[in-house]
Amino acid sequence: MEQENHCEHCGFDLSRLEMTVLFARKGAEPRKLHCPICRSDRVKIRALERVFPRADSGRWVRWREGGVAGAANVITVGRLKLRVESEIESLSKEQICFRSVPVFMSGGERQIPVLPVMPEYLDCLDPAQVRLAREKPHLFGRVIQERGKSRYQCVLPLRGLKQTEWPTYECDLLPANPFSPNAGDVDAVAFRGVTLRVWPNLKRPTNAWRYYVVGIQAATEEGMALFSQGRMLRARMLVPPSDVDGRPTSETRLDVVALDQEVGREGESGPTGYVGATRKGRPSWVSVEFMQATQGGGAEAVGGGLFPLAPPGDALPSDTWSFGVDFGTSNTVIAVKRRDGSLQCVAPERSRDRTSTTLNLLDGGPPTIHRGIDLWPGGEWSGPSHDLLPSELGCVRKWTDVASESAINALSFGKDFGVPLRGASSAVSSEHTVSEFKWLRAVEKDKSALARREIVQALQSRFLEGAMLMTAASLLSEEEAAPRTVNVNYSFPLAFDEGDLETLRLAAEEAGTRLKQLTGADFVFPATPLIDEAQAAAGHASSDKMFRVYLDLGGGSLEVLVDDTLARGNSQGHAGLHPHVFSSSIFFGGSVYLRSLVGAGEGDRRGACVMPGVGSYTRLASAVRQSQSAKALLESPHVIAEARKATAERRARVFIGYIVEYVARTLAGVCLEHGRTAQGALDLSHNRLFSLSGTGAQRRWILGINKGPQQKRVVEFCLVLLGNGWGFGDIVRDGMKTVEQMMAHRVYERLLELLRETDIAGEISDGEFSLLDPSLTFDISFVLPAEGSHRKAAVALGLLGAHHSTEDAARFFKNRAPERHGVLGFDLWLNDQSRRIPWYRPFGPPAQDDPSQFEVFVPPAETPAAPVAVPAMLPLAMPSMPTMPAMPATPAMPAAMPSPMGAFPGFAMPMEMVAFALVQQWPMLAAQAAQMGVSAVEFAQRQLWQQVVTQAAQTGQGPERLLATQQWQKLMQTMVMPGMTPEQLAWVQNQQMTFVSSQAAQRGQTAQVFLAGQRWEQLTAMLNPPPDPTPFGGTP
Amino acid sequence: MSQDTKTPPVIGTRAHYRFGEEPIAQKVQVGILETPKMPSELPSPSKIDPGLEATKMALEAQLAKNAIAPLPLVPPGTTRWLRFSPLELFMEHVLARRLWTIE
Repeated sequence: MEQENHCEHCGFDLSRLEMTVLFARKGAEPRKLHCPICRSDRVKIRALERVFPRADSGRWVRWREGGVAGAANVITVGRLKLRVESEIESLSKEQICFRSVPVFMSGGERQIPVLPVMPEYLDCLDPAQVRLAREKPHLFGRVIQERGKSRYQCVLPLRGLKQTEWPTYECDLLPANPFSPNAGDVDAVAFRGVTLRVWPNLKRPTNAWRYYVVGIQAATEEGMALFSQGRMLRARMLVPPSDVDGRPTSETRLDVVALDQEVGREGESGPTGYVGATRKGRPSWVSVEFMQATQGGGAEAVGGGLFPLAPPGDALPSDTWSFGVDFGTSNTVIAVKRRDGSLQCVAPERSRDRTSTTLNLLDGGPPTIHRGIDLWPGGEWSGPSHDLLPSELGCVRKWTDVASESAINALSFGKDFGVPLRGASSAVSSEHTVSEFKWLRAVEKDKSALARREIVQALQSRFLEGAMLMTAASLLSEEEAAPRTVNVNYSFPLAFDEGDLETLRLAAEEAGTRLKQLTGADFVFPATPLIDEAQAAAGHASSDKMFRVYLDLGGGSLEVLVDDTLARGNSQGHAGLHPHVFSSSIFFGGSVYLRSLVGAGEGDRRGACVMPGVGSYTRLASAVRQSQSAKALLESPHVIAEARKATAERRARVFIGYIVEYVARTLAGVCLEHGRTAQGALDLSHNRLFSLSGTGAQRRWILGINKGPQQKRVVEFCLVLLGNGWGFGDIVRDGMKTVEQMMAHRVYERLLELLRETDIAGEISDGEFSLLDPSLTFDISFVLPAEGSHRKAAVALGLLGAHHSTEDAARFFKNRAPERHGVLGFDLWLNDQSRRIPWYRPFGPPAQDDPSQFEVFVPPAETPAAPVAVPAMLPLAMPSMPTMPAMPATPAMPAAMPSPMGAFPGFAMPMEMVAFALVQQWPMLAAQAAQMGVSAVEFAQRQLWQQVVTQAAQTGQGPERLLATQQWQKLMQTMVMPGMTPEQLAWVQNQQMTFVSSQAAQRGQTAQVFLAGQRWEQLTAMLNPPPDPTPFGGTP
Repeated sequence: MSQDTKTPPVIGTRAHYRFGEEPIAQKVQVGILETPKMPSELPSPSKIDPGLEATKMALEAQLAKNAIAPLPLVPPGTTRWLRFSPLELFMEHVLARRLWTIE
């Protein structure tokens, strides 16, 4: 006979003990009994398996089916009596189960609850069997036919009973229509059009992911049977408690999380669904219950059942993920770097073959009931590529009612607030949605009650949290391995001020903290966003044009970056220059145009072009997302009033026209950049249109670059259009194939017009070509988005590009312009000197160049003008003798030639001696010059100049200063007489300096330049070929 | 091809480049001289903003906020310079708010 009440350690039979023991419980579990003989706790008492305290109340119960008799609070085990704290209640299977069970038609098949047990009594079942029910639900509930009537049947694995003792429970089916007689046919009574769904639908659910949203909705009118009169729907999810690692600690003692009626459906009082969210972990069960009012004012369950979710497991080891987030004013795009290094924009459920991010426990079919605002986080995103996440937040309450940081942070994503992927019905007022919260100043305009920095920060934070959750859910619906770390790269518009940047940074930090709790992964946002949006886009592709002009027209702002390709590549004399010639950003995005169509303001329809039904910006923006193109939007009679189409188009022309004007003026500013010497001469050394061209003797500064086999002189600007705002350009393409082509054409026309209207343009010249020279070609080209991509994707993809990991990128970021840097645009008058500042002048701090990287270039000596040109590069200040002003180090001669006489290392030979030596070696020098295709005189001048440079470098000064100093000393030698007093000497020096300065001024030069030029002329005059040798060997 | 460039351009030592405008006083009055000339197909700023009144107000507000950039936030070779663009101010503060008036 099986021992039922003994110590498994020593074998002592406890039923022989004649005593009464107070058998209290500890928490929700009975205390352990110890063997009085050996003290072991491995005591097995069969009766105790059938008598147990309830999880929620702690009250002791026993199965009526188990039949353990005894006093009301005593468990009798032979002679041993265990006395518990409370009366032991008897439970029956009918008490713990619903009276009837609903059947649902889901995707053409019947779905029935796996267990008919009320959630409160789940702890009365055997935990192992409950787990099995989740893993193999088909083994449990089923529909049977009994005497022509469909009934529900399920074996109940009651806690403590042997498998052979488990009773079978049978009950009626709950008819969908409570007023129709039960026809007995399961299909006749089944619910249809009901969706019970769980988000996210993880391919491999893990213990680490703890955020879930569950909802039950009427998808169709048939599904409204859920809310039939005379009964009430109640839905709850049962979530297990978990340990510190997130592992569930119980299968049957579960926390109950209620699903609440979806609200925020103005104009519609009746419910259409219930939704709930939990951050405690994956629910084990969802309970669908139907209640009926009782006479006493309460409610009792008349039917229901439990639907299981497969249990989670431990996460598989995984790599780190990298996201690139382009948090736009109107739309957000998120790119991900795949394991193979490929980059891809996240587009959840993009096509039919993609896994849904929603797990449908019941599938009621495509929804036809659209009421209120739909905050469900699953579903396709917007745009033609379905990769646009609207930068909007919907809320079941009016946003003005939750206008505090704490209230916003208390909202549950997907339940109380969320991204309205499918927009909002017209019945919902715009007070339930907030958009453009990227900018405090936009919120000020739209919803002033929310226009506080901490609230905007909370909105941004919750949006980023939601966007990351949706992105991760999308990826994990297809991948099994969940990441431990997610690196999130994000950018910012240059129009952000420091406050905006700090708000976004803190928002990202907060979102990262919450995401860790919700997903178990570390979402690492950089302490500061590393890169502005335009630069991020620039990182995605390389250029072969002189300049790339990134024009990012988003919903909120227009970012402009003129990027110098030569500087980026350290070539043609642009090394050391920061690639960002101009970088600016204006709060002038696509929303400007959309708002103009809505009218003078929210609720003020003056000037409105939209139909009254889309009379808010949010609704119009939603219509834009769902429209194929802006032109189609304009054609839509549901959006734009017929009589207002022409006006809407004119506004688009003005909107785009001013952007063209802005861009053209910016590019004109690049072309017209110039400095002035003290004498008023133009200094074009900072004009980016100039490049070093040619090699050796031909190397020089030219305006533009030589391109193609014909070496045509061109100035190239390549437009890169980014952002969705350019969609409005479609309205004014005027026959051009693309918006890019239209922009390039219009910017070209306007740029040339502006240059022609500007006097200084003719003076911007390299001596050969000027800006107004018809032979100089202005090439305004454009880049189309890559196939399969679009204008908005470049920033997100660029953030993940390898480009940004380079040393250059880090330097360029560090030295970027800290504020807007562009052109004034309008002529200004300043009262300080009553002066006029022309429109093409720059404003704002420029990006910092790196002078140490500047290319050293000295014009070759073979050109007669070269020695003159060298002094022309001298600094602007007048020298004050005897101490000459500091001069820049003059670059060494490029392409140094072999010296016919070798160098003069360490020996500062007088220049006259150098010239003499060159003349002495004239035949050899002439031969070498002939080999190089230059004249002997030119060759000798180069050699002499090289020596000047060498000697100057040895004495730590520039060659001009060396020459000027030598010339000054020669002049002084002729002026100074022996016995002069210091005063007389100073007077002579001053007189001579005055004379030199006036001479220099007449030539538009500084004194130093003038002196250096004089000296150079004297030296080069010595470089003449020696007289021919006398014929016949005679002496000269 | 222009052959008659009177003043040879100065292209060279960037480190000694001097910005072509004099530094401006810390407290300076700034005005828009006249209505900027725009292409014929665009309504002029003065049509959208009669007398450029709103633009001037935006300019005043900007001047009060951060008009003048101190060293080193200025173009090379100068000491103080403007840090705003009247065109940008017009587009952001005037055109963006009055585009609805275009009929």
